[in-house]
Amino acid sequence: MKTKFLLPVLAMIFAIGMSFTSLDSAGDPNQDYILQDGVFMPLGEELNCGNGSIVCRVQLEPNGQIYEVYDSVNPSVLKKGNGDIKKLY
Amino acid sequence: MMALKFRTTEKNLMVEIISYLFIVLFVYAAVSKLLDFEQFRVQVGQSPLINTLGDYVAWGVPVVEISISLLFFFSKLRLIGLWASFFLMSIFSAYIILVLNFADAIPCSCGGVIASLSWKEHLVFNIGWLLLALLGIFLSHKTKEPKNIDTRPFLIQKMK
Repeated sequence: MKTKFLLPVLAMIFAIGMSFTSLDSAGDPNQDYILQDGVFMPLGEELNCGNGSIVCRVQLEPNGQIYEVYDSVNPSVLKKGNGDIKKLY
Repeated sequence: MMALKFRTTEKNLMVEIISYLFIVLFVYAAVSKLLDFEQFRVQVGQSPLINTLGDYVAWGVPVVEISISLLFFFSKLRLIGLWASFFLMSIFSAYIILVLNFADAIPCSCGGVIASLSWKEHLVFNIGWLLLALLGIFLSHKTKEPKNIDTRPFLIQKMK
């Protein structure tokens, strides 16, 4: 009974380990995100915020709210750049 | 008779290996989706084909994947697991074909390294696993032991 489940359990542990090692916390290369009312909204494009260490910000409409940009759906992955506010309108 | 037994053992081994491969595939895909769940949910929401199903798909897919992988733990349920894998991979492949034909700008709602594949590569990947499931189903049917038939009365009759 014990040996019957050993290999499937090992396969499962191997798969779980692989999931953790391939987890990409660096960011979504396809697009950036903003946090709107506690929900991550995709911007539909990868913004070029330039080089720098200042948090990248975006404005979606004239005189509209300015949002901080995130590299992925992760509140700890703020996109950094030269500090210019990107205007998407 | 010995040669037949040897072939049956090989087939059983192949079915076992296929089962373990599916455990790895489905657990890896499910856990990868759950570890980055918010991103997966956003990606599902971006698909015009399944966005109306929203959270049902976001939660349902990993749950189904893990459930199918658990079937492979039990030898009696392996065939059911193989059929379930075949149908799930068919559904995924059908979705990719629809995406390729109607919307190629949707990011892949996949888990782990599978997300780095292009849509066409992903389709080939899925078809490969679909064929593997079919192979497992075929071998499972072939390895069924013949029912023991007591031929002694027949033999005694012949001897008379």
